[in-house]
Amino acid sequence: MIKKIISTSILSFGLTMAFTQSLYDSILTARISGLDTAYTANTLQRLANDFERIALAEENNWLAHYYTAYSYVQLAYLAKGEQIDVYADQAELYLKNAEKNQPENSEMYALYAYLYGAKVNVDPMVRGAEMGRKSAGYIDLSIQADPENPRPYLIRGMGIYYTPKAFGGGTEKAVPYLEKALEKYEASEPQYLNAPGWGKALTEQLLKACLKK
Amino acid sequence: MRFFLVIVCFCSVCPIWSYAQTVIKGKVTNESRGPLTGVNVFIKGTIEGTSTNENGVFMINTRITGDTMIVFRHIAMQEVQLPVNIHTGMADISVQMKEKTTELEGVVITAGNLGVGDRNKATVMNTMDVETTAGTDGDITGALRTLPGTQQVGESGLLFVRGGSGEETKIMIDGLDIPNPFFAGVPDVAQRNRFSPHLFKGIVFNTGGYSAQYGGALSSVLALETKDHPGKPSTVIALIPYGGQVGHDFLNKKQDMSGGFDIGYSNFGPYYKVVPQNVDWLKAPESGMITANFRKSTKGNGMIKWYGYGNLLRQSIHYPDVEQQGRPFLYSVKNANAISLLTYTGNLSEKWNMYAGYGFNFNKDHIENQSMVTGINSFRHQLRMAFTGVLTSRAKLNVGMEGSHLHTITDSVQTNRSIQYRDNETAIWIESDWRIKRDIMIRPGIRAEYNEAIGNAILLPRLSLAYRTSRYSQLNLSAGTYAQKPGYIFISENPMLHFTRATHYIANFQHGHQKRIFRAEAYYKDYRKLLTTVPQSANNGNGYAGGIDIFWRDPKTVRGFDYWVSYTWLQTERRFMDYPVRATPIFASPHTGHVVVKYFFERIGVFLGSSYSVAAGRPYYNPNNREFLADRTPVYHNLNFNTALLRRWGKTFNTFVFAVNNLAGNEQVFNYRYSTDGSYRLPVTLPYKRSFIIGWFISIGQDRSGEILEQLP
Repeated sequence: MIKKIISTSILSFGLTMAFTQSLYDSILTARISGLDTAYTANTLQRLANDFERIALAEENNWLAHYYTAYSYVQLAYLAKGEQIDVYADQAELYLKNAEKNQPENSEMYALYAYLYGAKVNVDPMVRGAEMGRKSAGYIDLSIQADPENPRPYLIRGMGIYYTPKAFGGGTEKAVPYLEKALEKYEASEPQYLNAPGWGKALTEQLLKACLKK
Repeated sequence: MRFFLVIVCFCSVCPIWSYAQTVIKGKVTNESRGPLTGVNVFIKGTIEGTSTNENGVFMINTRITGDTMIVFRHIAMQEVQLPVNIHTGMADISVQMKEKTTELEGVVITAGNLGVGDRNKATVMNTMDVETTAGTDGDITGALRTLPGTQQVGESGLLFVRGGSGEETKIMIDGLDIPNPFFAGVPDVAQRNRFSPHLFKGIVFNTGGYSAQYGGALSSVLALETKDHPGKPSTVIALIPYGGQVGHDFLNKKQDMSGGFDIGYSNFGPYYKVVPQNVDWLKAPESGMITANFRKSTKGNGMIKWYGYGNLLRQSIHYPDVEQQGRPFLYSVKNANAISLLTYTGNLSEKWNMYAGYGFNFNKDHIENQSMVTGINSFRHQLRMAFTGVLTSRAKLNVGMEGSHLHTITDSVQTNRSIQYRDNETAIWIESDWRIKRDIMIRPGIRAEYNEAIGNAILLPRLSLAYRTSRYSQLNLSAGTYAQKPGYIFISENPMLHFTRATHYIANFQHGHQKRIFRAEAYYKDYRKLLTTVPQSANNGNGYAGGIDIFWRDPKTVRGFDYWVSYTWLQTERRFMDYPVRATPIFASPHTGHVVVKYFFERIGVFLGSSYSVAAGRPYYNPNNREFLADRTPVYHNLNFNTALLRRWGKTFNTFVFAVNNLAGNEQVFNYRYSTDGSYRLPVTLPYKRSFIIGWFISIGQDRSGEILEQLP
């Protein structure tokens, strides 16, 4: 009798897990599509909270942690001054959680690079060297881990785009990286459900701005 | 038992479902009752939740009922967990959240502490400012002289802080003393300090009331901290009109070991031929310098650092003799200096850090003054250890000890005598940071020092208090006693001397938000047992200094434009050295003001900067005036300008620099030297009318676009 109860409960336990799992995945899918049109801090914060709730409920759902981090990085890019650090540090926290589950993943490295790029903006003159270097290091790691990932190329192109010409930046030098990124975006297919896919619109937008000048 | 376990498992994944939905509503506010937007509100352990809207209002529809915990999370606020019984017809929930106190925003001791670098709360400058401030020529102490609390003593490169003499400021690198931080000089020509600002990641300039970990200085401590691993290997070349420098930094692949060297040579001879000088140089300063450093990361977040420095310098002038109507005599200096600093920092456990350091300083002076020839060799060894630990979440402890051995040999050719001086010093300190309440911190500390040569021990209690008055401002109070032994020359003459002493009282207000910073500090210092040298060495001096320092900086309002303004008010009198009575010393001006402006055209890579300093006249000794030190020099004006052009060609980053000091050509009179009978005098002025610098700095290797900025003049 007891045996039976145990096996039934194990079965139903498994079922519940599977059910919540797919529920979480479908919520993630819905929220991720919301990211593409999130332009205001309020919308991004709302999405960050949605991802965070899943991340807190499911410690091992690395995608929930990853997207929480990504939302906070986006918030950091919208923020100004010291506020950037507040968002970026929060992003770093969740990104580290995601990384525990997915070490040496090209996407983790790419998001780190994107994150430290935001930190440069706190004070480009003081932070430029240290954070810029950190970001560049992660770009290299990301490309190494997956040469077909378009995001490290986008982040490099973006960094060059926003660096003044006098320091070796500028639109002309950004174009080759952005074009490469776009090429890879077009060739890439999502490998798994809710795989990171952000950045194509930004690449196109930056390229357009480059060619205008 | 097993059965019970299963039930528990089962329940934990199946919250109590009911078929009707319940609505949880409410509002979240901050401490001042304003609505909080974007708060994550959810039922603990589930993903059921929402975010608050613009009015701080939230609404959750849920099937869960019964006893739950509702969590409120916001990035800037402390998390709130509220036990709630969910049932139909619930009343609205009202929650007030408190601000998070992060380390950065927390209350810290800032009284008497001016930080340079982006780590410190009391930060008023960053290391880059040292190089971009017009008129400083990249000299750390020059840049610090634009901060309040310092005096414009143009004939000396030393730091004169709050009524203290130049000898009352101590300079330390990585916790170890640097007894000869300035280049050896000739009289009345300001000397630069030896160290390039590139070396340092942090500079803390203590203008008073400093912590028990520092000793041996009556007025001020300048604590410099060397950089950690560089970002990437690189090579730097600097070309200036009077010399050049080459440096290379390496970094291993694992990024846990790095090192580098710099070699420089300078000769002012050709430069002085082009830019006329008031000083009659026989041999313009010629100098060779080599520095090296090595860093290795060790287990437990530890780091071993070594820094080595060596310099050879010679110069000589015709120095006018006021006793003989300005007839010149020879004054020549040859100097050799070597420094080795070895330090280790690391974690002992999760809660305790340790520091250990060994410093060695060698200095050799060979001075020819008229016909007197003196040679001084000094060797100094220092050991220092400190432990910092977390006692509780509210208390930190810092204990440490240090000891040093000094050996000097003074050879006088005339008397054919060699005087040896040996001295040992030891000190221990203990200090604790207590956060009494969220907004109040106190730091009691005590330091004990013992000096063998004078056979004296002294106990120095110190206390600081910080109170956070609002999110961005705080109030500080600080008091403490400080001691310094007289110079070794006087001790070897009279070993019965005591420590000279000062008691500091400081009140400080600081408001800083988004890089704009306002500081006002009032202080009073009581000097006792100051060294007097007439008729013979004794501790018969005393005095006081009081004043107000004000600083305002705003790099924020206009993009690319940065400026600061500082004002120093100082009242001081003392009897010391050969002063027959108490008087305002010659290095004290009652009013000093500075305006520093910088503008960076980021798009075209051009930097423009300017600084203007003004100071009321300083006392000077006039034997014709029966009142001692009653005369005043004219008002001091100094206007400087600098510009830099930044360019990248291929793999090289190039910075071209042009700077003019004393642009307006003001005649700056620092002092007058009188003949004993008062019949003849000479003004002590700047050695030039205007000085010009043109420089080209090349950085080769990886992208160093950030660091190249640091190479501005």
